[in-house]
Amino acid sequence: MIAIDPRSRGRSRPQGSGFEAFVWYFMRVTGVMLFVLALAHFSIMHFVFDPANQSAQWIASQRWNQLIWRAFDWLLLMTVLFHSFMGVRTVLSDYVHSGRARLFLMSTLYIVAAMLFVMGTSVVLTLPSGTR
Amino acid sequence: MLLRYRGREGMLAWAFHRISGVAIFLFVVLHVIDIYLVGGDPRAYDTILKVYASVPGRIMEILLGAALLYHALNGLRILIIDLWPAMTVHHRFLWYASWVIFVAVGIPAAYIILKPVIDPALGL
Repeated sequence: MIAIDPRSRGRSRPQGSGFEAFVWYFMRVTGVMLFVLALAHFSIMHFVFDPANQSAQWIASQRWNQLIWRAFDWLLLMTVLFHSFMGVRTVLSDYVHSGRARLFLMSTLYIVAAMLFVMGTSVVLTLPSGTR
Repeated sequence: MLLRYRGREGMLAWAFHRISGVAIFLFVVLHVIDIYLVGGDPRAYDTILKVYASVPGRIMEILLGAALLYHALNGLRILIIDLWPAMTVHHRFLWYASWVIFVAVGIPAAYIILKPVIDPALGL
C-alpha cells in the first residue's frame, strides 16, 4: 500500500445527505461549470476584446446587447458566488476556531455574498441595452 | 517550510489551490462592485477600466488569469481523483500534467494580454 497524503485529494465527502454533503457536491458541480463559464468569460474579456476598447457604453450597447450574454454572465455570477463564498467558508472554518470571531466572519461573509447577489443581479436586469 | 515539510506535491497543490482561490474570491468581490458601476456610475466605471488597460493593470490580469487557470486545472485533478479514486496513486503525474497545460496555455495568454504594450515597443 502506497502512503498517500490526504491533501493530494480534495476535501473528503461529508457523511450523510445533509447541508455539508450538499455543499460538497455542489462545489464540484459549480467547479465544472466555472471551468467553462469563468475561463470563457476571461477569454472573451481579455483575448477577444481588449480592455482598452471597453467602456460602460460598450457594455450596454455591445457586450450585453443580447439576452444570451446577460444570461451567461448572470449564470456565471450565481456559480461563482456559490463556489467562492463556500470556498472561503471552508478556509475560515479551517483557521478560525473562536466562536465569536467565527460568527462575526461568517455573518460578514454571508452579508457580502447577499450584497453582491443583489448588485450583480440588479445591474444585469436593469442596465438599458443599446446606446445611451 | 515548503522544502522541509514532507507533504511534497500534494501539499503544494493544496496550498496553491487555496491561495489562488482566495485571490480569485477577492477579485470577484471587486469585479461585481465595478460592474455594478456600469449602471450606477458609468463614468467611475470608465475610470476603473483605464486601470485595467494600463501596464500594471495588465500584469494584474495575467496574475488573475494564472490563478484562474491553476485553480481550474487543479480543480479538474481533484475531480478526477474524487470520481476515480484509483487515480489517487497517480496524483503527482496529474499535477505535473496540469502544469504542462498551464504553461502551454498560459504563455500565449500572457502574450495576448500584453500585446498592446509589447508590440509597439518592438516596433510591430
